[in-house]
Amino acid sequence: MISCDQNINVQDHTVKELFTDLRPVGDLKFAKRFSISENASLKMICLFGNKDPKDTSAIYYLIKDSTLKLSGSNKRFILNGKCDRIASLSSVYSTMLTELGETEKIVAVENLDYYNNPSLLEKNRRSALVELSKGPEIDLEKTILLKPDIVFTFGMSGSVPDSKLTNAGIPMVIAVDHLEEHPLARAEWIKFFAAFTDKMDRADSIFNETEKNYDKLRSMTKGVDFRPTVLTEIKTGELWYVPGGKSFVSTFVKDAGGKYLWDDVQQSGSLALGLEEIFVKAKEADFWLNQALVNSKKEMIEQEPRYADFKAFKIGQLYNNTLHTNEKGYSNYWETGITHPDQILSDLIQILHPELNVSENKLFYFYQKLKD
Amino acid sequence: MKNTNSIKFIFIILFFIAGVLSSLFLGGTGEMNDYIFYAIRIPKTITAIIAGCTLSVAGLILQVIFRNPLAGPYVLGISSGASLMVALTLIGTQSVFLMEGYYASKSLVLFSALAGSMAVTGLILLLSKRIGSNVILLLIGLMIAQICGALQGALEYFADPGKLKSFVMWSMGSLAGTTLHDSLLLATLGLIFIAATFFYIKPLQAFLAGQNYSESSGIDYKKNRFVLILISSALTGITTAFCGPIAFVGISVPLLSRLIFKTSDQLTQILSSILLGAVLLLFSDMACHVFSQYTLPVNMITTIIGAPFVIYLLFKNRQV
Repeated sequence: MISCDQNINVQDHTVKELFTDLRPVGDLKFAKRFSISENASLKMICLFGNKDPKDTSAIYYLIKDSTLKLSGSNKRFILNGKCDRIASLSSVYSTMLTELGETEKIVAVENLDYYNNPSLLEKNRRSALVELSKGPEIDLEKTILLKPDIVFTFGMSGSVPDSKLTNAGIPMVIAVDHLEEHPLARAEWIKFFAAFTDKMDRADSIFNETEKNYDKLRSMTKGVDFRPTVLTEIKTGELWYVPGGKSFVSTFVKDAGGKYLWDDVQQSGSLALGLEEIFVKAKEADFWLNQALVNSKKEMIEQEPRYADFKAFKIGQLYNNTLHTNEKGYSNYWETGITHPDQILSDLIQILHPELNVSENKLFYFYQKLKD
Repeated sequence: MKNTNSIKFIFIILFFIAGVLSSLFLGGTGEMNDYIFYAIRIPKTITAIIAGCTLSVAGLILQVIFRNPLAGPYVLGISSGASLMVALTLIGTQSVFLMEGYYASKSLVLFSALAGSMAVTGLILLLSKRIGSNVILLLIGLMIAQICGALQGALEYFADPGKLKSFVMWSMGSLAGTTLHDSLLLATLGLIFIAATFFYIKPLQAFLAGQNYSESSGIDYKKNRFVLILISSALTGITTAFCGPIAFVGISVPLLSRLIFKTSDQLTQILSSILLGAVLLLFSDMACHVFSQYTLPVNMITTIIGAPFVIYLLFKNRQV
């Protein structure tokens, strides 16, 4: 926890006084890339860096005491109180905010083509929501004119003009939740967004429920006798991008009682392999998951007839996370699954170990078996 | 000279055989079985050979016609036309799976690439009937390539990430995406057009000396130029359709051939270009698999390895 920040200037107080009695908030159990602390005068939300989790990449001060006159430099952002007008440039963050009951505070999103969120789609039908980027870049003027209290975007986005927005007085949060190594760590980021809207109790409740469900499901597969092997993804052009052994996919498959075929690769990023390498390792894989936008075996063969030579294809054990898609064909897997990894795990256990009967009604949240 | 050239051919053939054997038996994971050999290795090897041959011959034809060592399938906009049509198909439509059956949908990409290259070819040929100057024709081809590139860029700009990724991967070029059926079809079509080239060796020979000489030799310059551009476009179009755009081969291989075989005899140049093109792509494919955890795109290899080598040869032999 930061005990004093030299990049802050405050009138009528010393900086040291500002940080008196700062206590941690949110009881973070898994997430490592942010921290929240507060005292009577302010709430301090720290983001930790891309390369080194100990490096503070930005700090957000939400002022509670209106008499405080604070200014900051070097990635220090000062906000007066909580945020009531939010631009959310990721469907994942938008989902977290709507689950916190903050739908009405979201004034803008990036592109509704990617969304399945019914409350935001309904808000759009009422013309109460603005889209800021139909292309790869956001509309800077529209964003500035909207005067949001904060803009949430994610760390891989290279198209958001950071300094132009902050120079216009609009604080930006470039979240790095994608760097968390465990699905529960990423789900815990609901507390990060709750800190900006003063909904920590609700965030705690949602996350605790998610964690409890996840742990219960994970414990059911601990004693399984047999771990079926799992292949994921399909070719894009000549290459097949398979996630590494430290990826979410690998974690989910392991927690669901399966064996991910590349679980020994010590990286979270993907490997770019050719068909031959995939075939040698995975031709006898028992299950095949996550076939991008494909919805049937026929479509798979249309793309690459040699898929039919994989065992998982021959025995029909193909499952894709496209059970619920919007009109444009985008599924809600990432949009909702990041906040509810327990639902993803439930689906995967039902696929890999149906004998465990984890869902009485055989309810699937994201996955469906591919049609013929 | 004849003996020297024969020795050079023998060496190139030996390299070719080494390339074929390496492509079939070396690299990859080290594991081999019948399926991998027949379903993956053989189609890839055939594709590498044919693509190398077709692009080299296509490049040679254009370099002779335009009497410019920088002329190639890219500069006339033929590859760009193919890329634009494929971009429209992959990015501009809801799904690439518009038609039933494997050959129909993969054929959609194939026909798109062919249609795009033929459309640009048609335009160039139409213009070639009215424009006598090869320099102007080449410049127009460059401008067409720029237009196609700009339109393609616009499609890419608005594409959603998934479809954009598919198109970008296609545009990296690929030798391993063909099945045995695809590779045999590519071989049949490619060999037909390469064979057609041999019927035009005399005009090609005459073109080296320019339009006036050609016509004074009794060769109908415009008619033969028309047919040769058509052959070159067809060779480029069918290869691009099956493999995506493969960079550098069409320009560098004829150049390498002239550096190795210092002769203006076009029969020698065609034969050596065919072999050298195949060798280049066979060894490029091997280089793509040098890292066990990553497969590199073939375009990167053909350019990064080939270009410095050609620069080195050009320094050594300043007349090309």
